[in-house]
Amino acid sequence: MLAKSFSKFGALYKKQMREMAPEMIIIGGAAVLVSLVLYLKLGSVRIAVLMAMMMVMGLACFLPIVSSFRLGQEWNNHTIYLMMSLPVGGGMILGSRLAALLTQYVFGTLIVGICGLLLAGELAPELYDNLDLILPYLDIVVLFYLCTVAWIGYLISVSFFSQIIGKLVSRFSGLVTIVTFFATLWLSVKMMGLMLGQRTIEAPDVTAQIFWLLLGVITLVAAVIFALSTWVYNRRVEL
Amino acid sequence: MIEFRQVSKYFGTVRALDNFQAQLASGRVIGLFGPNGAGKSTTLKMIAGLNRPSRGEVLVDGLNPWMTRDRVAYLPEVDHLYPWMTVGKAAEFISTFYSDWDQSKYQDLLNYLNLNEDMKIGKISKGQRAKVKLLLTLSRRSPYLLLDEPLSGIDLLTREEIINSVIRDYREGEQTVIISTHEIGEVERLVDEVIFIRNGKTVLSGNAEDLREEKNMSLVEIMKEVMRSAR
Repeated sequence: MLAKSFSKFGALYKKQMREMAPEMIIIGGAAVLVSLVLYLKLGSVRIAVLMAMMMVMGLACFLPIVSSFRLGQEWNNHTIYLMMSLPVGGGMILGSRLAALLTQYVFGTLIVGICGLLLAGELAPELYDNLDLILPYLDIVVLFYLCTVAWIGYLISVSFFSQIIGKLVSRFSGLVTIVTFFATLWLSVKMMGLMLGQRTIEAPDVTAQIFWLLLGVITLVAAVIFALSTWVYNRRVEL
Repeated sequence: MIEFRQVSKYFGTVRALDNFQAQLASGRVIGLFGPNGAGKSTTLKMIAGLNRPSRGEVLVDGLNPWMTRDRVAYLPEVDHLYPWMTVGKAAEFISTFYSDWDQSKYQDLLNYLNLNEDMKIGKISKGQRAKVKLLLTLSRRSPYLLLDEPLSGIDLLTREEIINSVIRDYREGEQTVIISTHEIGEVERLVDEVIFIRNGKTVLSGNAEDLREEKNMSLVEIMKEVMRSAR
């Protein structure tokens, strides 16, 4: 039973990954291309290198959010008929999509990060001489990265929720989606603020505690919104 | 057995089904006939679990249709397959979800319908897409087969192939086939039972042969008569 569920999830995940392949190629290609151009042409202008890599990193972070709004295309292309007639619940349909979008984010940011580090090593080798100063903070860097993954997951969940709510109405679907998106963002950020405000942080390891707390709160709110999206998909969406 | 218990369905102010009552016996080929907008597609979507009644209840083998989606093979009127998939990839994807997928039947139908696994769905003709949809629906050994306007917009030769595939594949007594169409002439020879539907209500139903004998008319003529008198 579990193996069957995994293979169904795997088939859905594979399909999502195939649909997102062009964006992933764009990010990977842009990262490698920008690195090469910078290495060959602008090596001496460090600020230009930094700016360009930041822009590609921005693209890697931004694209999964844009791609998440493709859920609505299932209705426009009528492929929702296929998805809804499959004997699986909304959790699996939306879960596989979320997993694929997070993969896209991790792939994009890692490839840009690696390219950036390699470039930095070539253009400013003195950075590598001071590695022992950076290494003690590696756990903070990892925690920060996990927080960004959770944040992207949260934004994707809000995007799913708003699109599903938009599909419940036959008229002004786009407007309802936009209004729901921003209203859910506003409300959930307020909730996060309240949850964070109730916690006290004590020394030592203040930074690590803050990141752990952020990770927990963002993940919890994202999970609630995702569960709500799944519930609406299973109980209310129809064709 | 499929049961509709006083089912009404509203889309905003539009009433698609109006107190619709029906019992669809297992192991038969049932024709759901009526003009455009009669409520045929809504009826099939309810059986497939894609629509819910606004009032009343739909039961498939005594269960909510959402729970029986693995027993139902549904062919919608619209093109519902991913255009970037090849026929082979679409079959691989769909087969993952159904334990009743029959690979040998799939291969057999693939040859019979003159299709190729490497064909990209977005790049083939409308007739070929209709055949691919049918191929992927008929490759399962499902207890219920729902065909929503399977001949709509398809040329004569392809229609013949589609009808012959359905006849060839039908497992009498084992499988319930429900065909919704307004092109009755094409499927007249297929159906055992008929339900004529208009404005979401049954206007006439019964055994196809009995109705033909009783009225001494073809099903096309019967439909014209009942639709005229229902106005």
